[in-house]
Order: sequence, then C-alpha cells, then structure tokens
Amino acid sequence: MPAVVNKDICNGCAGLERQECIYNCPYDAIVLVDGKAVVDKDKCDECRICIEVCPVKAIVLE
Amino acid sequence: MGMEKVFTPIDIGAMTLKHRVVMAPTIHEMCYRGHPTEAYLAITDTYARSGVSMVCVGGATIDPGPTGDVFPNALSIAHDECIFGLQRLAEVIKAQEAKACQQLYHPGRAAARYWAQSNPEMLPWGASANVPFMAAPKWEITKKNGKWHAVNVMPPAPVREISAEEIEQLVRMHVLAVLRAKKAGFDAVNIHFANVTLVMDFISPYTNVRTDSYGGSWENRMRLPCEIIQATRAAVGKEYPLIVRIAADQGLGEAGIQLQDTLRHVVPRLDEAGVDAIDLSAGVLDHTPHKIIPPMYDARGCYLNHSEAVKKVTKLPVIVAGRLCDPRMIAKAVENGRCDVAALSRPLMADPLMPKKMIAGKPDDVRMCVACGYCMTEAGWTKYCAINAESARERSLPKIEPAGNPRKVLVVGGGPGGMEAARVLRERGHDVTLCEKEAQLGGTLRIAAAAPLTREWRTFTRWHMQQIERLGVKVRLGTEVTKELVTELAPDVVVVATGSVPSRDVPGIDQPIVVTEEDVLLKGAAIGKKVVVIGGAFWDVETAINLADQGKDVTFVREAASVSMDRLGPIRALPILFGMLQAKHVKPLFSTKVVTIEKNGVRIVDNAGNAAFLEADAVVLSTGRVANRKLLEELRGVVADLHEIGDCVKPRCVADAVYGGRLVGARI
Repeated sequence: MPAVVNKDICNGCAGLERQECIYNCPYDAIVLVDGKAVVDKDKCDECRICIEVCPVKAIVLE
Repeated sequence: MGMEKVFTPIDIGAMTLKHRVVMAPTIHEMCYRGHPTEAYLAITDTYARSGVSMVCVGGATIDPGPTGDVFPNALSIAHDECIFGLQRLAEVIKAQEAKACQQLYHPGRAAARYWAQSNPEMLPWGASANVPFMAAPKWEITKKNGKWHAVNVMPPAPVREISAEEIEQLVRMHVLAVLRAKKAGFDAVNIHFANVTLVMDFISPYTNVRTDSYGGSWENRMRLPCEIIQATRAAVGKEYPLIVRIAADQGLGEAGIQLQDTLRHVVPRLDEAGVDAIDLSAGVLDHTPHKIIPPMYDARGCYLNHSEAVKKVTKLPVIVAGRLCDPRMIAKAVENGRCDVAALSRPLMADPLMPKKMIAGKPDDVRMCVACGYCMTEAGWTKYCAINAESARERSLPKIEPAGNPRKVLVVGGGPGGMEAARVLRERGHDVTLCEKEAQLGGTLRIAAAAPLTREWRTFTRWHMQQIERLGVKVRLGTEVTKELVTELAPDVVVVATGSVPSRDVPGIDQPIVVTEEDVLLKGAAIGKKVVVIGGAFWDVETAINLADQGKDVTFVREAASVSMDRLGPIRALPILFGMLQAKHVKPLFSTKVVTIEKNGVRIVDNAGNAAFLEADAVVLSTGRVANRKLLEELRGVVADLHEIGDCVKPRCVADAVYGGRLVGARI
C-alpha cells in the first residue's frame, strides 16, 4: 500500500519554496505532474515521510 | 545514492566525528551490580565494528544509593570502583577507531521501579511529590460512565520532593560522574536530561510544581540543568565534549514539555550554559514509553521534524534518533539539513553492519529494523533482536563458518524460520532446497505484512528473499512437501519449518460466517459490514483496527481483561492501541467469552454472567495459532537427520523462529 496523493487537496506547494514531499522522499519516488505531486508506486517504500511533511495533508497510504 | 554529506566529518566541540552516523545511547541490562559483563563488552564490540563514528554507551546511573537504582542489571558510574569496567568499554570502542561516549543520568522518580517497592520507608527523589511513578504498569480495561478506559491497576509508587541540599548533591553527582567517564577514557559524555531522568522532571511543568527558585517559570525550571552544565564545564575543562539529551516533546500535550517549549526555553538556555551538541529524544518512561521507543505504527524518521525545528534555533550540532532504520532516509535527512547527526539504536541491533553497508553503497543489503519492540521485552533490556538472532548472543551462538562437509539440505516452509535456516545453511556452503506450499515466501509474516499497521514486517521478508536469491538457495514455490517428495529428493538433512494454522478451538467454528485473518488479509475474502473479531492472539487488536479502517462496524471480543502484552514490552503501550480502538470506533468487549458462534452472530457472556447475542455478517478469528506438525510426524523415523524450528514446534513469535533458523543453520 504505497503513498497516494489526493489530487483535490494537493496544491503542488504553490507559493512555497519547494514541494516538501519531493524534496524529502528518500527514493525519489515523487514527481510533479500538472502542478500536483504523483507517487511512483514501484519506487515507494512506504516510509511515510511524505505524509509527515505534507503541509496540506494530501497524502495517505492506500 | 547521495550519501556524500552523511559521510563528511562533523565537530562536536573539540571532538571530530569522521562521519554523521552514530550509535544512540541505549540502556543495556547486561551488567552485574553496575559493572559491565563480558556479554556487554561483546555487544559493545559489535556496535564498535558496525562502522559508526561514535558509540554511546547507554545510561549509567550517577547515584550510588537506592535512589539511583532503576534497571537492576544496568550500568553504574556512581563511584570510583566503576571506572575499571568503564575503561574496558571505552577500550573496546576505541579499538575500532570509533569515538567513545558515555551517557549518564539520575533516574529520579524511576528509581521507584523496583527498589522502592520493597523499601517503602525510603522514597525516590522527585522534582516535586505530585507525580508518583507508574512502576511496572499492568493494564486493564474498564467501563466508566459508558466509556472504556485503559487503567493501570498497579499502585503508583510515591516520590518525595528533594531538598535544596539534595539538589547540590545531585549537581555534584553529575560532575563526579563526568570526571569518571573522562578518566575511564571516554572521548565525550552524553548527559541525559530526557525520558527517565530527575533533571527532565525539573524541566517539565508536569512534574515540577516547586515554589522555590527551581520551580515556576521556565527560567527557574531550567536552573538545575544549567547549573549542572556549568559546574561540569568548570570541572572538566573547555575542551571536553558535553552532549545533552533532551526530550523535545514529552507526548503529554500541554501538561508537559512540548516542541515549542524546547525551541524557546530549553535549547537556547542549554546552548548558553555551554553544551557542545543537542541530542533529541522524546517521551517519558512511565507515561509515554512509545514516544521514547516509537513502534512500527509510527513513520520512519518520526522525529526529524523535531531536529529540523531545533536546528533553526541553535548553531550547535543536532543529533536525533527515532526509527532511522532506512539508509536512504538518513542520507536524505542529513543532505537536506534536517539533522546533523543520525543516531541509531535498534537499527544497529537489527543489522550491526548497517553503517558499513551504507558506506559501501549497498543500502538494499541492510536488514532494516521493523520497530517491533522485541528488544524491550519483559525478559529485560538485554537487546535480543527479533530479526537478528545474533544480537546480544555474541558469545553463545555458533558463528556462520564454512561447513566442513557440505550436505544436501531440504528446508520445508518459507516463513521467517525456514528462510533464516536456508540463508545460513547456504552461506556455509550447503546445497539447500527451500520448499514453500504457497505461491509466495513469508509464511505467517505475510499476514502481518498485509495488515496496514504492521506493514513494516514486509521489509524483513523482502530482505530474506534477496539474500536467498543472492546466495543461490533453490526455491520451489507452490510445493507441498510429502513423505514421497522427501524420498524422491533424498536429502541428507531435513529442516521442518511448517509453521502453524489458525486455532479453531471455538464452539460453532464451522458456521459459514467464520473467516480467518488469512482469508481476509491475504485472500481478500469479501465480508459484510458487521464484523465480530474474536481475539486471543497478540496482534488481535491490530486486526480489529485494520478491519475498522476498511469501514467495517467492528466489535472486538476477548476473554482476558486486557490485550496481550506478550513479549512486546512497553512499546506495545496499551494507551496507543486502546486509543486507536476508540478512534476507529471499535467496540471492545473485554472479560467476555464466546459461548458459541451461530449462523447470524455470536453468543457471548461476560465475567459477571450477563449473556448477550451479537449480530454479525462475519466473524473473524484472531484467536491464535496451533502448530502444524503433520509432516514432522510423517518423517519421524524416515529421515535420520531431522530438525524442527519455528511455529511447528510451538506457535510463538517471529524471534523464536529466526533464532531457531539461525541456530540450526549454524549447527548442521
């Protein structure tokens, strides 16, 4: 059950210095697509750091 | 993999660490009357050889009297006779070119844990007398005002407020202890002001309601730690590195120290008092042990947010621990400046070569700590590890050495025990075939790995699979071993690790609404909305929580008055599990027995004799397991060299299976 980004909540960290999930992911499993974070399921190791650092709580394990 | 910064040097005062991965201070109950045993020296040697840049020997008590006694077999630095043993420890560490650090502390209220129970006339020291110590908690669950509560039924152990003269004595104890550590050859000290210490009780508003100059305002509550640091600095000189460990957040909400207090009031004052580094922990031993030793329910690196925040208020190096089991996460955290130094405790027990594997660029080879808490069991804080049988057994387990006479070995069952046996046997040069009746390896651990709360177990199965493949164990999946197959394969040796099956010792078990955890978690059995979970196994609460998470309306029935704490020690803290039960709206029925399962529900009776009927669409069994000994009985007398390990001997925990596999693997 890898991390999944809720696209309705994710705002791509608009106005912030960087996307916290992308910056902190140890596996480089997250990329920005059309202004929203997207997790590569095969790279995700379910460490949950993205869930911890997301400023808008847009990420869950699913 | 971007490991550059984590392997650059860093200065802690006048001491230079060659890189930023260190051993976190960890109490080991491996001493005799305060002096290290040979076994403790051996495990310390293991840590020193791990490749860490500094090994911090965990909590030595600074108080020679009964008020300093908390863990009966832990280390002491309370008198000069301790120096001899401490020298041996420092020597073992420095021989591997790691820096040696000694942690020291006064246990305060926690001395109530053992000693004061039998000596009620002398009370342990507290900052104030308002908070007794919850000695050896025993949890029960009761219903009060229509709500369920987890209650510690052990009487709390009272403490007394220490006097101004005793505070002076306490400062002196710290100073003398630091001087002893220095004399014993330690390169640095870690002065413990967190978790289980009298000084933390002075800092925290929860335990300090004094009205003198040591209580009240933050300035007053920080007076004692600052006096200790200043007095120590004056005695030990400018050069000697003083690291201070604090609880960044006690996990008590507004009642205790919170992160914002640490940032505003604690760290700046310690910085000014002259410490050389800040080491972050969290939690209080008797109230929030799961904050000190975060369980697998928490995220990896769960305290990096603390270190990141602390780094913004100080220029001192910030050290942090807390589920840093993952090499890539450590590298990233240091690279991103979320901490300066990563401190490992449990991850080093799980894989004592983790830092070396990181340096060698082999992060996938690391056997990651799953944070199961087995190292904190009631057997004592000896630091046995569930997934690394060698931890704390340096002197007893036979080493993995080439087999003089390679043999053909059949291992039956691909659970943690069977895989461990196969791994070790193959490593030693035997010709190993591993048969598993399911289409996947993992055994009973697959159930845990499929459940959201206990997902981390999957990393252990993954590691075993990688190792087995690397070593060239012949794996046959979907192969149920029979007597005929054994005759056909004609192995020299058979290791039976056939595991266990769910216990079916419940009246009405054959009703169609009954399903097992395997059915639900592994086979995706569709079940209705109203679910009754019949508990008994030690992960039963997690099963109930997982089902509630899937949107089920769950009632949890357990015959005992509490959840099982079997071999999972303090971090399976009932308050968190119980809190989760409540948060997910599971209805718990403790002290309640299943009379029989019927076609549309469960007939129950509580310990007061009140009978009831619970309607249910499904009944999920989490009642525990029974040994699967079928093949074993068949092979007796047929195979001359026959071994049995794991749950098929007797259903127990993963640690027993791994130990069995490791031992048999080295013996054949």
